[in-house]
Amino acid sequence: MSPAIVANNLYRYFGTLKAVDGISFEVPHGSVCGFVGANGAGKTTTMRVLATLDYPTMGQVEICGINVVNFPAKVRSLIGWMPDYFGNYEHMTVLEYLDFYARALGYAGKERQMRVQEVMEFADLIPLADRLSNKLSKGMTQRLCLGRSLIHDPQVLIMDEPAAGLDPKARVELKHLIRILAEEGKTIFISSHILSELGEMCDSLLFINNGHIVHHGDAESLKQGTETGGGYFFDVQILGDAQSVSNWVVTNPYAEFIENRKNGGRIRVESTETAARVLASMVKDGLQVIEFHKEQRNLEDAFIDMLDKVNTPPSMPKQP
Amino acid sequence: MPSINHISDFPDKLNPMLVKELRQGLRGISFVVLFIAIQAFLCFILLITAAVASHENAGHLLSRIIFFFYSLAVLVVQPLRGIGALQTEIKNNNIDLLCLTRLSAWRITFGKWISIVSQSALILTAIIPYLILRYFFGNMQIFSEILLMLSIFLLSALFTAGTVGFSALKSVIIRVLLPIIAAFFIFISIGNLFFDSRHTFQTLLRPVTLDSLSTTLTFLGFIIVCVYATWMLLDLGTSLIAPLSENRATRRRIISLGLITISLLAFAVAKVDMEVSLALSLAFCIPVSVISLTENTNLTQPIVAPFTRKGIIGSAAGRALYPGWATGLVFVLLLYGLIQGLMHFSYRANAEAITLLNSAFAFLLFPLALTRLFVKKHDNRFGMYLLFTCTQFLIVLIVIAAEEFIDGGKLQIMQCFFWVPTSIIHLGGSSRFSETALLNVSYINVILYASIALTSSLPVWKHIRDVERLSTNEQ
Repeated sequence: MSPAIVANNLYRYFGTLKAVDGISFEVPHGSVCGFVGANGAGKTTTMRVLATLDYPTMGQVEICGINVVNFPAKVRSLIGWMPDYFGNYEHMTVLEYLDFYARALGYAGKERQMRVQEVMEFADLIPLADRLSNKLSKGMTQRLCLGRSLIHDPQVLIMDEPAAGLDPKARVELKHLIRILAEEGKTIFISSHILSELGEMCDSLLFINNGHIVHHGDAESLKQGTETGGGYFFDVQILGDAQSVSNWVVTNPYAEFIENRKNGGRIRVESTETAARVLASMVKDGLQVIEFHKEQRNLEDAFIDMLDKVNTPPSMPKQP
Repeated sequence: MPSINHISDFPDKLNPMLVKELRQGLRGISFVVLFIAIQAFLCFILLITAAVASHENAGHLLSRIIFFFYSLAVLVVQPLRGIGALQTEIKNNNIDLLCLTRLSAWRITFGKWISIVSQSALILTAIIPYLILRYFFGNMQIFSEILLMLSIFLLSALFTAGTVGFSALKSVIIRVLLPIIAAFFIFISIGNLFFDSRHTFQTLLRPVTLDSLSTTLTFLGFIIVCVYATWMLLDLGTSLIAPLSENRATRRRIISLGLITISLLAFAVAKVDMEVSLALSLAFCIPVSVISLTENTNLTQPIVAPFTRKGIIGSAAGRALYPGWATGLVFVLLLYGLIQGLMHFSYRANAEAITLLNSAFAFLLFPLALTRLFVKKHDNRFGMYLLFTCTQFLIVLIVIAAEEFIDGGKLQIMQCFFWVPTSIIHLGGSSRFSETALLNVSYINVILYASIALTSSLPVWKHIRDVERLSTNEQ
């Protein structure tokens, strides 16, 4: 079975601007993949190409094994698209809004009523059925948009910043709905700026920077930084002169000194085995270690670290 | 859920876009106010007229008042409601959502248009009782007045197609300002037609009496031109919102080509006057040419594939039928050759007719050549094209004004502006050039602007070949 989403050497140029510059990735069926990047990194462009709303300059993109360029209509029946922004219609109720899209998707008669009812129940829109769609709160609007994208029961959901501008309650509700969809076996490709939330709900994270993929893996590996060569960070505290830690690291090839701290310093090692060896050596060399603590980076830190790493020119000397 | 049955208020077979627009439009304040205002005005006027029913012109006056309000509603107000039709969807990011459904770009545009037109039809239906009452005031040409009412309705549909089609354009000047200015002039014209004098109204009724073959044919021609122009304007809007995978150009060009060929041949067989035949073929030719010369050239493999599958013949046909201004140029030159040939063989066209034909095509190619020379990268190709089209008239007007006001009309500088295609009208009338010289000038203009446009299209042909190669490789 082919993966739900495949991008192979995808390029999208707008004149001289390289919005997407040769990215490749795969998203397996039934998984939730978070798509992360700064503004202008190429997220929306990539998502629009996946959703058949834009064309790649070069490269192949497939949804459930179907090429988006050659068979856009087939792909459209497989995907649900939730844009970062859309304007609701005037003089139209929530029910009429969903009914319009159900009609537009080709549903008729009882089947149309059934589909509308199902998505209204799923997205908890029944109490809002007679409310005008342009008078809804942001959270309700996003639920309506999710409902609309689910009318034709798509296999793959592409969501561009669905949580942007939502209050915490609405965000929790949306997260809950996404989790249910994931449990139902839908493949979800979601972009967001709120990395902690993505970390909780995504099976994998895809980081894009300046049109290039800079990381594809799970949240844990990103936090630890192993995939980007970040290693593990340890907070070392000792009794006595704090400077001793940095002095010790200079003579030890297995660790890298990062920064001074109140009673010691912060170091980086390549693996947990090395960490054990470093700790043993410190004790053996007479350092009175009172704390040797592996730091758990949050996703935001990991993301910033990774961007720094990617954006640092290779010729620059490494920080001491 | 108590209200779920409410969504069956419109039958499933109706265009979903029409259902949506009707649901919104019928609740919209603009339609409701217009509808009630017309009823109120007409009731009031009818009562007043009934009070002075003894007056011999009461019937005619009532007809003019009814037609004035009806025309105002369907020729001015209703078309203006189309100004934001597609742009609202684009601005609100809804066009993407619509394109992802099974609705084609055509059904979206058509739905927007038909909803406004069906509301105009409601106004028409609401007017009919007043026409029936007006019958009792006497002196009514019932058949002609009903036909005039339908003709106005047809014009309303055309104007609405204009505003809906233009509503997909980015330029506010073309999308909003132009229709408002046009609406203002239409308003003035309506006032003049119905209130200037009784005879003007009678003149309006004359062509719709259908009392002779010529009036019947003219009325038929009017209907065909209205339908064709409506389709063209809607298709313009459609191509502007259509996803790249949707090829609008090929069908449009083939239909227009067929229509022009058939009508020219039919005119020749029916021995219609050469001038009429030429004017009508140009009327069919100009809209499709303008759209073809202003199309974007984002060619994709799925569009090219049906052509490349047919080998060299398909690929050659694609040179005139693929979407994009470069192939549009080839298509326009093909039309030019076709009309030239048919005019020559069917009518043995004289130099004057050929000059007119050449000038019309030079008029079409001039804005394209200027766009390619000066504003290659501009994304508002249609707007730029219109701007340079207007420039042609502006140059000629300035030159005419200069000739009139400088040196007491003795100054003759228009011949220096022979390269502006619109100058031919003035030069032809002023006998500064002989007929042959004018013909040669018109040929030079066509060749000059076609050459500039063709030369600047060379990179596009390379792109087309690349896409064709990719498509052939995939097959």
